[in-house]
Amino acid sequence: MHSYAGKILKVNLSDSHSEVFRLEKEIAESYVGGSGIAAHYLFKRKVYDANPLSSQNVLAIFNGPLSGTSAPSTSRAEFCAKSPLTGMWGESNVGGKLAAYLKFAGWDGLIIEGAAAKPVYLLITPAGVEIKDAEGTWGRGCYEAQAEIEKEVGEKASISVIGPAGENLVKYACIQVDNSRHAGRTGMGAVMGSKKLKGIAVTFDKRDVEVAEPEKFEEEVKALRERIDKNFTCNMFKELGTSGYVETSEMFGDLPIKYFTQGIFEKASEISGSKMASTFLKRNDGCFGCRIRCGRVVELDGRLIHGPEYETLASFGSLQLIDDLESLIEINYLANDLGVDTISAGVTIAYAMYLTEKGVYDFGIRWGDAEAVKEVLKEIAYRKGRGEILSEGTRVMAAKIGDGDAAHVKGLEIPMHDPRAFSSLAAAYAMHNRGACHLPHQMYNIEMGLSIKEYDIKSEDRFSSEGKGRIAARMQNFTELFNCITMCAFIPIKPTMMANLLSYATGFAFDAQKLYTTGERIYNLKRMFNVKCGIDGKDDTLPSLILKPLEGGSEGNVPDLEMQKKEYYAERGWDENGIPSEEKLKSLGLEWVLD
Amino acid sequence: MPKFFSQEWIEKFVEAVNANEEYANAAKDWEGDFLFVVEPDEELEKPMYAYIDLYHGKAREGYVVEDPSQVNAAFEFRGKFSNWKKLLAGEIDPIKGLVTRKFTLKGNMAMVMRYAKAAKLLVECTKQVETEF
Repeated sequence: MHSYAGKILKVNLSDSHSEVFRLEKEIAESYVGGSGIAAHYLFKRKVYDANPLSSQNVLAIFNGPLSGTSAPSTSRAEFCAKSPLTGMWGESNVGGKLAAYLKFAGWDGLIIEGAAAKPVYLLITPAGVEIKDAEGTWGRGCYEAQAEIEKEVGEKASISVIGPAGENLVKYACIQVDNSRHAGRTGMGAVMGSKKLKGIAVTFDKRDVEVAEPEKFEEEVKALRERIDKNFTCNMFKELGTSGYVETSEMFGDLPIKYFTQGIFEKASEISGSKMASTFLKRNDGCFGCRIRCGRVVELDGRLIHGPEYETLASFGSLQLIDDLESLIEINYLANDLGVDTISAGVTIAYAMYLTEKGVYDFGIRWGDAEAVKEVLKEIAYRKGRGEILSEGTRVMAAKIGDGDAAHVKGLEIPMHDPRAFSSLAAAYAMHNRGACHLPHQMYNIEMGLSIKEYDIKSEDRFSSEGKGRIAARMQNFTELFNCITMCAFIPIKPTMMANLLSYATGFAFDAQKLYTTGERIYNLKRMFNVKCGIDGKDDTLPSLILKPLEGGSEGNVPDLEMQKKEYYAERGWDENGIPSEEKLKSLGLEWVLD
Repeated sequence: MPKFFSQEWIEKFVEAVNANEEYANAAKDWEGDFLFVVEPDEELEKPMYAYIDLYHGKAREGYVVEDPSQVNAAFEFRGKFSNWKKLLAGEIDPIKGLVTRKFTLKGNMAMVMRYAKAAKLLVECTKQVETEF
């Protein structure tokens, strides 16, 4: 097979046994790569029955067929397992070098089973896997652990690690990749921690990925590069990072403020990418093969460190009423070193502030108190004091305390885009396979006027709910491919261009329609994984907290979720309880999930 | 009724900007002049150009430009005639217009993103000017 390594490496940490198996052509064509192939494998292994923090859970890490090629921004790796935060399908997409290096080493994916008796890290090479002692790095922060492993394996390696939060099974622990990127969502770091797996290092001998039709492929790559270079949003991310969106977000009412209860944040400019560019920014930083380079390197106290992006500036900034950029840079660095997802951590801490103010439960933390936030983050990572309950996320907090305002969908905390500003986010969040998730569908772009003509996806009124369930489902089907190919969600690629790239790389004949059907297949497969976990229509909902009107840019709008849900189910061919029909599953080649 | 991008229209637009207190507040620290470009399409044969100098919440000067090479503005905002009509009708927001590639911008992007609200208010000032397209 072209552009695939053709091999998957499996290691069992309980007995240290490893094996290599071939990637079947039929599986590659039907599920493409990334989280698509991971979903196929984990479903077949019945991982939906596993306790997420037990040795029965399986961590699957996959690159995609474009990883390691000249196609821009395609070194994206997918970490997939049953989520300890949500108890259903978990996945997190991450950049850095990992996906490309894994391909160069000769692997399409890693399957990690069992659990080690004591801390280990994995060294992945073209020859296979070595299980290495990690007792010396266990307990260290992510940055120090990266440096320690690098000393042992050399600089020419991609290194992924967990921090104390992952070790202590914080439900939203993340995985840090190559010092600067994070597989943040759904608690994949806790899955590694439960396996006593501190890190994964990948090295290779030569960069060699062969595509099926090199000349046509390079032509398409050139066209895509030109498209990226002319794109306003890509250029904005290059100059300002994702946080260049902060002021615009506030203007539209998209920026969550004071735990989703306020519509105007007059200090937005104080925490924005524009402010960072004129104060702390030293240079850009990017993932392997990226033309955008949205990462920020900032200088603080004489140190060059990675700066916060939009989601973090909002979740710890506007959401907690912290308007001091220097404090937010420090908080971001601390959260990354401890290894927590900054979205879930930010929302969870903001919830503690909200409950404290409301008088429901006194967590001893007030709005805007940056120093207290730093202390709470450490308590979360080490599960100490109030950190014990906060480490479980908002859903568990609400259940234990008896409050109804936890800002999550199916256990995953709501990210920093508000459905009251862009109505189709309601359907996109409520029915997403991993809970409240803003990627890769990015419905806010559609609500701002972007359209996908091939699939009739467009919005003419950001506040209307009519037709929004339909376009959210369609957009999810298309963008599902970003996590399979694998490609950064920021790339402004048209379906025909994506189909061409995939065809010229793999030799499989993709067009826009086949691409769409493939995305729909993978989306429904993950839904069926969730159905096996007990998820159905009753879980496809939004918290009432974010269905209350606000002043400001959202102009009092409240999306009609029930209308969107009905449209969404109809578009998907799901029954009224949110279960994919047998007919739909068969039409997508998924009859095997009914066995 | 003044014609869009005529000298009379630009002067009335400058008056509207200078009478808008909300804009004055949102753009109180803004410093930067603009060359606005209307690109031809089915309804317009030749391009049109206008220069507006915006400074600390006010429009200091505005005039029709015949030769854009003679103008060295800090920012250039351009789009097709049909999209300008949508912008003035409120169907497109200026930042949304950039995100969706209906308009392009040259100049310091950090400045523009920081003043997204001021840009929106600037467009709203055109509603104070009766316009013949």
